[in-house]
Amino acid sequence: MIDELRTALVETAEGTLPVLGLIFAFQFLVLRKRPANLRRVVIGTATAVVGFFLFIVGATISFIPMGRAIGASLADADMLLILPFTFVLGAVVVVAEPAVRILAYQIEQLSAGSLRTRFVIAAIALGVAIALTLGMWRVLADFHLAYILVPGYALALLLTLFTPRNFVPVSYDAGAVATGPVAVNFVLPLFTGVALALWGDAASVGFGIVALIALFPIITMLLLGVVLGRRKRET
Amino acid sequence: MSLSLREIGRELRDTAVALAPAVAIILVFQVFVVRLSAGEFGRIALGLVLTLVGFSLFLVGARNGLLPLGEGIGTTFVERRAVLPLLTFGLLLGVVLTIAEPDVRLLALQVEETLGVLESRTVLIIVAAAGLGIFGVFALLRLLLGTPIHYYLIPGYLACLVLTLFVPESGVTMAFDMGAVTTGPMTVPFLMALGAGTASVLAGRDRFTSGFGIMAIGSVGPVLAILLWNVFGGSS
Repeated sequence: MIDELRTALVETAEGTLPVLGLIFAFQFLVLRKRPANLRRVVIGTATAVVGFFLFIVGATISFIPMGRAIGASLADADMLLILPFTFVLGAVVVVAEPAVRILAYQIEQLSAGSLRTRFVIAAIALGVAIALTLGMWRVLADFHLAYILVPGYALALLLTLFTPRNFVPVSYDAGAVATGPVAVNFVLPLFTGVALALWGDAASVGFGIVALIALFPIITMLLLGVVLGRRKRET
Repeated sequence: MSLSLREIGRELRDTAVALAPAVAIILVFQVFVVRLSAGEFGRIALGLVLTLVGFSLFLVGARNGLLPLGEGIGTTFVERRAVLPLLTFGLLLGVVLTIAEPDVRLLALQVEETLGVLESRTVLIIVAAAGLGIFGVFALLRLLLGTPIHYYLIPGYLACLVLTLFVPESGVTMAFDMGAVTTGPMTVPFLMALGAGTASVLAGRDRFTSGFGIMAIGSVGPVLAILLWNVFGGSS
């Protein structure tokens, strides 16, 4: 426990000091202005730093080791059991991410209601479910990440040319929001847990899953755009 | 008025909802499969609570402290039409916010722990941060110039895919994993706010098209930076 606390303290200092230094330097040296609500800023900043520390400690003693343990127990199970499990895991885990819901809501607002929140969430969830299933297949079969990444990005770039133009930015943003704290601190250790149990020291095949979680929602969102764009043209 | 308890409460609820599916899976596996001793699971349970509280406090604190300050600085430059200071600030803020992204640190920790391949996780983080900073500036430039987003995304990702052929697999996974997590609770609100601020000053531009996409362009940067760093022998 002492080790984890020490690591978290170092991480907190390294993580927060540069941003504090930069913002206060610009505020006082470049703008030469006292912030309107200094008390609030100081309290908010202190709260953020404490939260950062607790989050790092919490994740390193709970989600990460437990994810790894769950992954290790899955390694013995049958492939026909693991793949559907990871598909469902992907769909369920993402629907709950606040960043995903915020993006979906913003898209509905800015598209004047033509793009419903639940369509966007469903498209992103499907993307993550596909990402996890393919990623788990890669861990079980042990092949190079590029075999998924290169065709995946090629498909995304191709779809970029066929989807309505205003769909492109939001689709790529969808990939960015799907990789939240749960992806990094639960899904990733679960995958490295499986990889460690199956492949021992050569467990690097467990990594790359976060990259896939960022890729497949882009593809499903662009596809949604292609479908909606075609429908609009027909009517 | 400082931080309101109600806001912390709301954030705790949102984070609890976000973590709930993962926690449910943990409980099911603990009861039926993994079966840790009471002491070991007690430590896990404590960690789950710390994660919930820590992440919520981090978000509320950042939203009330640093982010409005950063946005205020950005808005001042936008209003004064000071393009060069705005881009300089965007570059530096992109770098330090990536360094402050907790998921970036937790990913680097896991890479080091599992593979032991990192000479220095700090260097890896700084390379990724530089990539995000530079591409964050490209994203702001796009808003100022009004170029279509394809012009950035297609060459950017094509370059990444080509570099993939020249980098060992561990470098490829590291680059794309890292690229995916650099956009998190610190970088996203700031990039969105700076982008929306810039877009709102530029009158007559379609917000649905131009306000979004900043994260998309920004997250190409870290991937490209780590791949290049691997190609030129930065990591062994």
